[in-house]
Amino acid sequence: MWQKKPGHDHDHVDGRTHTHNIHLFNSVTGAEHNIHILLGVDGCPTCGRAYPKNDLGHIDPKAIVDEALAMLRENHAAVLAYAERHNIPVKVGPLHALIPDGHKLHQGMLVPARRQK
Amino acid sequence: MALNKAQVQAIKDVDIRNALLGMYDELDSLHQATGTNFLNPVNNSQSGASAPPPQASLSVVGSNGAFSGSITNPSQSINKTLWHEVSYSTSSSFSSGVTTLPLTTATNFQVSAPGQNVYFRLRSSYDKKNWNSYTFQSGSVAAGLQSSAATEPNVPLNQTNYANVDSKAAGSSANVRVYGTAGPGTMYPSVKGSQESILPSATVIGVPFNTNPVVAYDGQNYQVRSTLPEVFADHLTPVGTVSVVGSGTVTLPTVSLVLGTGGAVIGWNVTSQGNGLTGPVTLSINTTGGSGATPGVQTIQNGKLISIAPGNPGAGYSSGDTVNVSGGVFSGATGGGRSIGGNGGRFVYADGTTGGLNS
Repeated sequence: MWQKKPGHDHDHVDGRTHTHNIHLFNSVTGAEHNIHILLGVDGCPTCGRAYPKNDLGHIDPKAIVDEALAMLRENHAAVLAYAERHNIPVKVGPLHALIPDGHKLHQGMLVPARRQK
Repeated sequence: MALNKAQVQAIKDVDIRNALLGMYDELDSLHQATGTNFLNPVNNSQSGASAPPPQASLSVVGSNGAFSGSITNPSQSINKTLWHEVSYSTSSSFSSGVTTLPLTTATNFQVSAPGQNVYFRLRSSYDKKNWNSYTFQSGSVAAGLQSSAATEPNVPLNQTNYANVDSKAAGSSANVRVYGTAGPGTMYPSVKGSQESILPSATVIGVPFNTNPVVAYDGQNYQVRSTLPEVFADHLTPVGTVSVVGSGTVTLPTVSLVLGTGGAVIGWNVTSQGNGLTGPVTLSINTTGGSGATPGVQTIQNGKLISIAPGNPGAGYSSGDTVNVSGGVFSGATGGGRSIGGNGGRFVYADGTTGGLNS
């Protein structure tokens, strides 16, 4: 299911670009989705260094992540519902090769198409 | 050097003569024992080590952005180490801009110099001090341009991706979205050289209105830069570019007809470009006698209608006919933005092939 990747590497502010980087991943399909919240503007064209914005009070990263997760989970649920409706197993594809070992969940990687009771 | 016994015996100084005769006899007995002949060597025609060698020959051809050279050693020097010095210059007289390759004993060399057209020369030496005269390659040699196939797999060329890059208004700024063909939140394949990888989808939040950001991937995160050259760094993979227009009321452009023979519409003249457009405008002609004319592809950049390509010319239109303009809003929602060029925001080659670096 879609969730935030654990660890600071996947939820941090890049001080050079003034960007809040958040990495999401789907433990079932291996899919990934990034969220980048720009906290700076007018980056230097040479080095990419950005100047911080003055007003960041209105930005709510948790709400942004929740909104993205809701969208992604909706898409994922649609796929699972389709597989369940037609009794088709969901097989994990080669996308998992791109996921670091520490982020892989070995349970539920192959979701049997069985109706929950 | 040969030593003649008769010459030794003719020496008048008795002590020297006896000493030399003794040495002669010792050497002669050594010769008898070993089968060698120190006193009358026959292999004495070879030049001393300090003398320059005979001329080697040089042949250089250019292909695929590189020079390939071949050196043929002279037959006389097969028992000695022969050092070669190859140099080249854009001047046939080698008066300036001379590049000298490292000394080598090899008889083949490669020089990568895409687009260069130069002259080659060669000289040789046994001791790297005393050189023979230069041998010049006949005429200049062109290396030609380097093809994509000859490039390293990881250079920022020959790459493509199947990302869609667009933007969507979100309050006082826009969200730029990077996603695959299955829609927002789906990954997409990226091909670099012969290597294909699947890159994550992304949402970049807080992108200012009225900008044309370029999006690149650095292996972990997406970077949003202002201009295309900023994403040419080796560690970045250019993904796409998007026109982020301002949220608010759309100002529709105005368009007039350019008529040809028989009242055919041979052009659509954009008299004012409008503002805030996020999609193609809908065009219709107010006419009394014309029919059949349709517009071609519209070019929209920065929320403005830049041009309209000619479509079907039709016939029977007159100078009093006018053009109605409506729409211009992507997916029916104002604000935000959309990909540049109608190609999903991806970069395309100049020949129209998706995936190049020319937007």
